[in-house]
Amino acid sequence: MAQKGWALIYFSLGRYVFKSCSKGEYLYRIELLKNSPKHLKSREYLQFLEETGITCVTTSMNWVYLRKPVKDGPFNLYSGIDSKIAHYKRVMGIWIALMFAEFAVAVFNLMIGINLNVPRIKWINLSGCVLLFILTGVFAWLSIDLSRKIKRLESERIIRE
Amino acid sequence: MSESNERGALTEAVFYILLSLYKPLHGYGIMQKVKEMSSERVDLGAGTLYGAINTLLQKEWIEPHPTSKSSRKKEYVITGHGREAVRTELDRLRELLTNGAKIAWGDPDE
Repeated sequence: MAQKGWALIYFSLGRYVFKSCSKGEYLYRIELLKNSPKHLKSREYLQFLEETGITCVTTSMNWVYLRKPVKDGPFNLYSGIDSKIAHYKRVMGIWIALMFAEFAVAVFNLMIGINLNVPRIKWINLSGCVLLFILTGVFAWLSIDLSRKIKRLESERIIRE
Repeated sequence: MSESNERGALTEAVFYILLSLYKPLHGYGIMQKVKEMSSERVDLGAGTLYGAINTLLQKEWIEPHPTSKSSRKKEYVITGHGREAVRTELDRLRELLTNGAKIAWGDPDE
């Protein structure tokens, strides 16, 4: 969007707010923090980023939306293989947790659906269950994709940093 | 977890961060200095640098440098332990260079 002249300024629960900017003025990166953005450690980290010319635009749970003016050069938060691996592992942890959560709720719905004798509600439970299984699959796929990336980096790490 | 890594090679990022801190610098200054020393080759990511600074502070290879109140940016400087680590690494690199040059470049004396 920043390429088209729209800078992200706010995000919450699937709603993005943009403000007009010059075309291609900013580069954006999304990062997952270990702690909530209000935590002292996160605030120190964001303050550090600020000092290097990176602005935290908005946050959503532990995700932070960061931006840097294009004129300041390329925007890579992680330059070494090790820190890339650590970053991917953090994100993968979230996907795996979500996968199990969706799976548990899907199974729960399935059991209710099977044991219920009210046809109309039974239908809601069973279709919800299918949807949740699909979501489980999506998160499983995301996790597998990331774990492949991590494995590739780890084998690369054996021969170079 | 008590395995000692004290004698392992330093990462390129850590080696350059330590070198840049023979004079006190703040985070952004380190990034600029490292880029300059390596003729733009090593471009430290801010996230990577932040992690490295915290680890180096814990190991006491660098320490916070007291700055004037007008500046809010934290500055850091290398410690005695840090200088020692750089010297140990230089010895290791010299060994690599000597052996590498002898075999790969061919030493006319051999």
